[in-house]
Amino acid sequence: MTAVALRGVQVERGGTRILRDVDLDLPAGAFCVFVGPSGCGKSTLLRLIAGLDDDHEGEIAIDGRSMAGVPPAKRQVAMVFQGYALYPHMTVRQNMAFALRRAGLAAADIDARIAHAARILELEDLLQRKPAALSGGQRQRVAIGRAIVKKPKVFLFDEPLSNLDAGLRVQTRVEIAKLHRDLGSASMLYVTHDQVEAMTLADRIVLLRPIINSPAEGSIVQVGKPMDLYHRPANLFAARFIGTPSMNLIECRVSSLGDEGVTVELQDRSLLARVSAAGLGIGDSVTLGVRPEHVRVAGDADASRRLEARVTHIESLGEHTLLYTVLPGVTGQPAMLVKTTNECAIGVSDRVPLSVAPGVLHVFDRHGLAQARMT
Amino acid sequence: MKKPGWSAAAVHAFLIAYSLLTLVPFVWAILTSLKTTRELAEATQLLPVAFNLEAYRTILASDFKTWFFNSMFVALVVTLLGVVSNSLAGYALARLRFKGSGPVFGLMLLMVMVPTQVTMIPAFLVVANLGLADTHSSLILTSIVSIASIFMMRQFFVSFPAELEEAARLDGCGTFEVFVRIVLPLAAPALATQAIFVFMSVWNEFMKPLLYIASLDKYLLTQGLNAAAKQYEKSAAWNITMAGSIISVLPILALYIVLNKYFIRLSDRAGGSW
Repeated sequence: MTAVALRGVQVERGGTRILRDVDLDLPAGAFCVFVGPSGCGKSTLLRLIAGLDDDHEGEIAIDGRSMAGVPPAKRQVAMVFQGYALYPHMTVRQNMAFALRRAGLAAADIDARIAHAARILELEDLLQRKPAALSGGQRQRVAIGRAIVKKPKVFLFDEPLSNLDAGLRVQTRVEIAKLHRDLGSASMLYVTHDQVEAMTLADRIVLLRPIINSPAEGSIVQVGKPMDLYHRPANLFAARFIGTPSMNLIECRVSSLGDEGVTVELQDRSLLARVSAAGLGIGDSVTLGVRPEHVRVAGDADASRRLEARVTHIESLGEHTLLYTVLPGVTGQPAMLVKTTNECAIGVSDRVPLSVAPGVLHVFDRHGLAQARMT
Repeated sequence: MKKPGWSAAAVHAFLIAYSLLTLVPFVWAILTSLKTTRELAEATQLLPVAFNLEAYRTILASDFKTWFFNSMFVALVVTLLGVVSNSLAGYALARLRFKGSGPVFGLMLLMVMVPTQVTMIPAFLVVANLGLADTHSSLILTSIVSIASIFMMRQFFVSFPAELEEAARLDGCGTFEVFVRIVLPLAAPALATQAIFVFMSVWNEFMKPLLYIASLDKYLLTQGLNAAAKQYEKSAAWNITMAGSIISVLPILALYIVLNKYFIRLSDRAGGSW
């Protein structure tokens, strides 16, 4: 069952295209996260689904019903805003009851729903307070409570954690994930620019890109489970965006192609990547990708697969260390970031041997599209 | 915390002196109103010998009461209708997307630049042609719309958080309900400020009633006081004129005291915090 379906959705404002060719089916009960950098149109997309904006081409359907001409209140959605948007002149209880009263629900039903939401969110003691007397975290819980009482088909979250401090953000993130489990069948659409939030909360990530400078490409870069986007980025944009620190990307050439994968030349060494060779030819220019956590310091005994790097900077973060290195002997001395858990006695300017396993390498063709991985 | 320096002390001293200076005419008027006509003629003492309320009794025994209630009626009706219509207009210009909203706003700002004196006679001719000359309706109808108030309300609504209105739309409110249930209750400071300004401008209006109203029993207070001053001037009864002036200031003082907390809140909110 599809909770939200988008068909050919496009938005253009003041001659600037903000969204292009958005086709999506978001399954019922899923936690979908729209993620992408500023200006990619993720909040716009959420507002279109909510009905707050209607200046779009294409079709939007919620629960199988077209939303053309349907006002926001009739869409069976509830939205949690970035700035909470609680009515300052009403108490917490009045804030939660407002939409229900407008919908003409019986007082007993309203009370029961508020009591249920207050219990889930631990708001029982705050019901008579006004928003000004609440902390940021409490306000956010009230905003979520106001959404819960409406029993919507789809919850819409517009960067709900961005106004909270770091500690509270983690705590609220966990609470939202728990809420999704507790509510069972509720579908949630969540907008964020923070890929950590996307990775930790989502069943399904929709990665979007700004299209202002790309006249032909669509807004959606990749849709999939968080680990799919991490292990199998569809292109260079996804490879750069998903993962912290982001993937090392190095220009190089294909030296051989075979059943076991694609071999590229780097520092006069041949590195095998276990990816499909489809569409590639020997001598083609490609981009080699490897995540910093997949690079080993002197991990491979085979000297033919060992790269040599020069350390330019070190960041010790306790649980792991980040080595900022460059690869001498390669055009442009590309940077290679290494995330290691080893307590190593390495200093700045030291030369260190690095190795990468064939199974963790990514290869992107000259158009920036990923070669399918074999593992 | 850093102690205030000499420059701060000098600024405070200047402001205190300036405040006292602005109070002088009021204090002078109060003292004059409490003197007898003889004391005024002799002009030997600053303070009244006995705090004599005769001047107040005299003025209240005249047509003054009628003029006071005329002014109160016109000012209250204009304030009530003006606050409603100017707020609606301000909201429409701030939030509603309609064709020509930009030019309409531009025209309104242009009209502010036209001096009142230029439009006074043509406006009177329109009023007279409508058969409204010498009626309070003429004063009310020509005072309801205030471009300054519309502009003030528009600026207030422009800075009003759009998320609150969007939340209300998702909660089932139409545009008018959003305005009445969410925006207006939170606009109390702006409404109170507007009410003070509108009331004051109508209460203190002098030229318009002078032009529009001819019958003595329909005079507004400013007009009546002017006529009374001329009359008492002949007998040098400044105490009676001052007593009338003091009473005429009281409603504005009362309104300001009642709405003061909202007025201050609006200036606090200039920082944009909601």
